[in-house]
Amino acid sequence: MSKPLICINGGGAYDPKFEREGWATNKSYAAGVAAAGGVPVLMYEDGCAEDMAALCDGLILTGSFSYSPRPQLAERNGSVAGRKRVQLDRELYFAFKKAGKPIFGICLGEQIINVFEGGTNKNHFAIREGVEHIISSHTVETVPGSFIEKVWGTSFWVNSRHGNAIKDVAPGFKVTALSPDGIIEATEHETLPIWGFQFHPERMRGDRPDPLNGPDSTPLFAAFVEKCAAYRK
Amino acid sequence: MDRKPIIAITAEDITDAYGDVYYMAKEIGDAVRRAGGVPVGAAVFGCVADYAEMADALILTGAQHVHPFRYGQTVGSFEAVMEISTSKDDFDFAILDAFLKAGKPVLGINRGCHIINAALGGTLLRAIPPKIYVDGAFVDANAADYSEVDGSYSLYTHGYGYQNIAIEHDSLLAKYLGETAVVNTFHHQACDKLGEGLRVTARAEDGVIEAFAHESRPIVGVQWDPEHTTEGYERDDAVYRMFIDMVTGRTE
Repeated sequence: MSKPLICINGGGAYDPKFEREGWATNKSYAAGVAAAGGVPVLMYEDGCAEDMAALCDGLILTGSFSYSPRPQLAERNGSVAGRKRVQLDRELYFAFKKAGKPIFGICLGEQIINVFEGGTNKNHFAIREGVEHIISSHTVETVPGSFIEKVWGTSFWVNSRHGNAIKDVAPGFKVTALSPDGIIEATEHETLPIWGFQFHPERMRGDRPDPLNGPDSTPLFAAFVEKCAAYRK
Repeated sequence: MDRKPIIAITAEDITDAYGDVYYMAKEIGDAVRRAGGVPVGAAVFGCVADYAEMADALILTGAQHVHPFRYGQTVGSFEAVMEISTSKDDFDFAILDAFLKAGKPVLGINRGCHIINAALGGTLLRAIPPKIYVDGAFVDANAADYSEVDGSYSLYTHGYGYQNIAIEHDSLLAKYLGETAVVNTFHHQACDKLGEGLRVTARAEDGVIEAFAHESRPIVGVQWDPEHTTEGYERDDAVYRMFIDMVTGRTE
């Protein structure tokens, strides 16, 4: 295979409850991967984690509508939307991690990796902290030497589309970017090729990027695809 | 082949008020998995050659009408434009071409068999002649049309429901399904003149082409949706088993 294959997960279309019938993946993720020289591979079933980890060279866990990353809460709440997705995200994450293959977590993908690895998240921080990150934009400050700092530098604008965020980062991971109001905006594993972003780089491309004053995200996807290609050699 | 074959399946391309997504219906992936393949979704136009390199075979899916210019005809009415997706056509014809060039097996389901037929030079029957009910007909919110009096399905004979088909006794399909079968039906168009090298392997009772196979290459198409259970039809993996056997070279 000449180009790296990048598995991109999906969620329930429109509503997490619809995950029973099919998986939906926002086209923007696939477009970002393809523009960076990777080949997007999508999911067609629940039980695909082992085969995807064997076939593909990297994984992107995408963002989505909010859902609980803890299926066991079903007993308390009556039901948890996105149960199948939580299970498959977990299987995909650990299968790719075990294989040592690069992983991108975006928005919910970043938060769910944090939970899988023993960190904690905070829900609805806008209410508790008076900080608004829904359909807004802001700058981030990056940590020198980090993956994201090497691609985009120390300070730049990003979009903001989330009600939950990482509270305590998981053991083995470090924070690599913060917003001015103190929200964790990027993480990376200390030794493994695993990176997380709270903002949506897949929306920061094309004719109408979000935000208009942000950097183009193709170099970020290209840096990821390059890591996936390097893994294969 | 000593591993499970990788089967690329085209994703649905959906742009509407709720989002801009690729959609993968699990019942298709599950059917491929039960038949012994590894289903993966393929969706990006610029990567069709890569998908043909990555996968051992291709399944074309979907429901939209193929643009009539693809088989040398004109649209004719503005209403007909509503049933067409040019981006889906662009992707489907390109990925089919990539797999045919690579000499890899292709299965067309419903719209997929129309794509294959048009790509090989065939034409489509654009409106299957309607049944006439003396009691009129009713069209519900899902565009399913049926008789108001006895509830029998479909003003258009193949619009919604199930039907009997007759399968050519010497075809590969007959080895998997037998010489008659009940299948579901969800379409207003069908293959008319078949493309170069394609042979009819099944017909409905009214003569509509329900399945075809290429005389020398690993190309097959079916008009129904074998993986989709509906009233009067239980899902049947036989078509998928046949296709996976074609891919792995295990057919007789």
